[in-house]
Amino acid sequence: MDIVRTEAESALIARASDNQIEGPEWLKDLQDAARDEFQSLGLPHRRVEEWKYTDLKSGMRTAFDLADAGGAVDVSADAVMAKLPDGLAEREAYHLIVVNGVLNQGLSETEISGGVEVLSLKDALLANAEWIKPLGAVQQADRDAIQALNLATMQGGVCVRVPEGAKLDKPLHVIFVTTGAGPRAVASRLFFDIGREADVQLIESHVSLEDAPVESNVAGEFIVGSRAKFRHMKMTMDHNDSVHLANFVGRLGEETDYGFFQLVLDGGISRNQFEMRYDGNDAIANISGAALLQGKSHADLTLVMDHAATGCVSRELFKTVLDDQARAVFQGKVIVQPGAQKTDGEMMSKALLLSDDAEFDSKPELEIYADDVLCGHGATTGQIDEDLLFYLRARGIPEKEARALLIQAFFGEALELVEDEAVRDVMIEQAVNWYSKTR
Amino acid sequence: MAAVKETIEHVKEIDVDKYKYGFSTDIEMVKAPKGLNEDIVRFISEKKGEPEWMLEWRLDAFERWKTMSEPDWAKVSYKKPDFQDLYYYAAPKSTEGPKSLDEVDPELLETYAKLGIPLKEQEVLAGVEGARVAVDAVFDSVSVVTTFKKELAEAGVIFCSISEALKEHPELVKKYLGTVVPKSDNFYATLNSAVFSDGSFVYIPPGVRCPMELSTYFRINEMNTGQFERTLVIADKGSYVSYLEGCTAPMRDENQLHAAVVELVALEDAEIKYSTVQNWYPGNKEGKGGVYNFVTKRGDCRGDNSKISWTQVETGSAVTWKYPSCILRGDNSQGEFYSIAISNGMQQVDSGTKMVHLGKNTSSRIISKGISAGKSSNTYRGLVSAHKKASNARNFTQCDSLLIGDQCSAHTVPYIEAKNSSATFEHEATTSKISDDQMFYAQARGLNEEEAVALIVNGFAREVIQKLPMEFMAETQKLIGISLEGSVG
Repeated sequence: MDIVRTEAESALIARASDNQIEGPEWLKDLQDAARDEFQSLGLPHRRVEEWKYTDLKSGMRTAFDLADAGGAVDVSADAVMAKLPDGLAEREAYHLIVVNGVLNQGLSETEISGGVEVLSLKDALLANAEWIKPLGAVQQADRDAIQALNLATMQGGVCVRVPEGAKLDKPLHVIFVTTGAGPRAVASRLFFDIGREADVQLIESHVSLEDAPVESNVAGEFIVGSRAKFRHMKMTMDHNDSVHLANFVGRLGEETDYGFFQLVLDGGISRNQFEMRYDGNDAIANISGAALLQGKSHADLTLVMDHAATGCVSRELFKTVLDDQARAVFQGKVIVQPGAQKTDGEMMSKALLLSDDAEFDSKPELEIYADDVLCGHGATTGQIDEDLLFYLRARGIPEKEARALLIQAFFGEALELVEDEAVRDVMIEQAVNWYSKTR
Repeated sequence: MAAVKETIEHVKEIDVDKYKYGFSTDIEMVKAPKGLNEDIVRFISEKKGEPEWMLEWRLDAFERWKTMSEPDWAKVSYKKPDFQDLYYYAAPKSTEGPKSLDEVDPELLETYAKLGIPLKEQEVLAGVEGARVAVDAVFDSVSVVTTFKKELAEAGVIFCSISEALKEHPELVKKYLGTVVPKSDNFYATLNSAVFSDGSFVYIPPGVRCPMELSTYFRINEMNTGQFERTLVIADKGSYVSYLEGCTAPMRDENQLHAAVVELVALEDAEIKYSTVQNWYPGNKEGKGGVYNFVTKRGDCRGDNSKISWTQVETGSAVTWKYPSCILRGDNSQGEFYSIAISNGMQQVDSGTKMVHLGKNTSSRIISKGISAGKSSNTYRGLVSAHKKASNARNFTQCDSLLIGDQCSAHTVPYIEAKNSSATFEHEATTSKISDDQMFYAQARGLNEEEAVALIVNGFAREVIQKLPMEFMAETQKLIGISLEGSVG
């Protein structure tokens, strides 16, 4: 039977065949397998259950050309910093600048005390160190089409190894920069091996030097050792015709403390997908975020918390504000494997709809195979509470301001979860700016 | 934890060894040959003396069914039925229809007696005001006896078998059949459309409040008989009806397929309350045997201010796959779904509801209580959606699961789709044993531990049990022999 391929699919398949990264034999096998998987799966569409609400087959009409990842790209650190939101560049950090998918050593600060190794993906693969070998195999489940596509087409990325007990004095800030004429595609990867009892903060930001759409495919793999603490904060500053596809998979060791927060502001089609597996007992993970969407933005957050050990805690809180024809998707699944007793899972997704043309689809799932657990989820969808509005107006606050206050209070509840004060302030300012652009 | 133990004991009672409704009755049956083809469809239609359009309808459904494949998205796994190895028509052999209960085959009456269906009792009850329940008893596929028809007729209510309705009221059947569940809706509904043997038909005329609760007992009897019931309930403007459906099946080694279709139509200001107790044979300890229950149930709140309420108690069947739904088409219409699903042994339940909000100011409420024990799997799967024009749509959903033992599983898969800013949807789901907080709360008020646990377990499913009509509440207890709710009734 002939498979009808869209233009984008054909281009992506060609890309997967042409762009293998240099590396050891095991990587070649992995990339070949991933390419075949993508070829047989094609772009995800609404008949693929996990992608029911984000149909890339119809959403991605064309695939952009892959951005030039060679050494010819001339970028200055100042130009990159200038693209970051106010305050973020000032946040002291080890800046790791990834230009068109490849870590630019010249612009980056890779000398980090405490024995922390920071390598570009290419160098790490060429060195073929033992710690890099789980790459591509951190996840337990079968790869989906987008994960396979990343593996098959990745241009580069950042590999970090944090030794046992190392506590970083400032965050690692990975800045993904895209540059080049016209719309560009990038595929990049983060690989983190965090030793026992280490303490690491990661700031991830995405910017484009030109005002052009970007199709980015980012994958992150995190192995977090016992009793380590890991914080991950993410912001994207993408053009509104962009496609941003991110996949994060992690394995959490015993008593780890993992926290993730993301702020999504418009940016075309985006999907952030998580698959966190609790391998060790008594680990804690808190994955939260806020999304503020206008225009025709489409933001998807898909999350699997896989409890394979006992006594672990998962907390998720997502707040979404939708205006115009924006659409947001929340799919969160908590799995409690047989024997994962004493699991404590709480998941909450709340959406505020400001327009009748906006749409919010949520699918919070529980899959429980153990009896001594406490799992719950909540999902609400609604509009601004007229009673609250009346309350504020009765106290002399003009309607527009009152609305702004209520919206800020709504997403503020999530933003408060960001522990890093500087990053939190940046996010709050961005969110408030976003709102002031609305009516 | 005595009450938990008590619950476990109760749940165990639906186990194979104690399945007291596992018997079969020897009554001569008239069967169509095994297998499914166009001739069988024609045979069924001819046996029932159906009009030509009905035959065409069936054949069309059959044509469509041939192109469909069995759905596999539900969280259940089972040996797919061999559709060519089933009988699609079986009717008790009798020369003339019985004119009174005395003429009914005594063995049949005995069957019902074992089930605890008080057919005889009905006659006694007949003289008693206010306690009347009409029974359109279904033995395998054909309605054998219908009582209280006369009294219902006085009220203008039509309550008969669907084959009878096709003869007596073809215009009503033609007007409404397949309008809620289209004949090619899904694999099993399409199969049902092609080969449905019989079922109940209810029509409540405008402004009439049905004088009694209508009740049908289903019973699968003959070996290898697929049951393809078709129920159609129409509540005309301003009317009200409460419909009860209860089921038990005899013990059998081979899996029995039940693929029913239930369609409800509520016109302006009408209300339909549909209650089900399902206790079909769940299979033995290894999961052998047991009924496959693949049912399509859907209600259409077609008129403004109409209301449809589903209440179900699911304790039986090896595999259950059913989602009683409401299409809230009329403005201000309301949909409700109250469910208790108990699974034990190797049972698999994938059940839930769909609330599709289309009209303005529509509201829906979903309360689902899943109790999972043994090695069973219990899934709630539901959809709540608000169409762009469904302003002020409102939904409240609560799905609670209680796990008993560490071999079972409980899942929740809700889909919530809001396409309107004035839609207010709230969804809550919990999975738990009994929480320390609840225990502390109860104990702080002077209850001892045992009493506290009893209170909490009893309270778990109460919201749903209370929604059952009185007659059914008692019947439920008798039928399933488990009572999570000792204090109710």
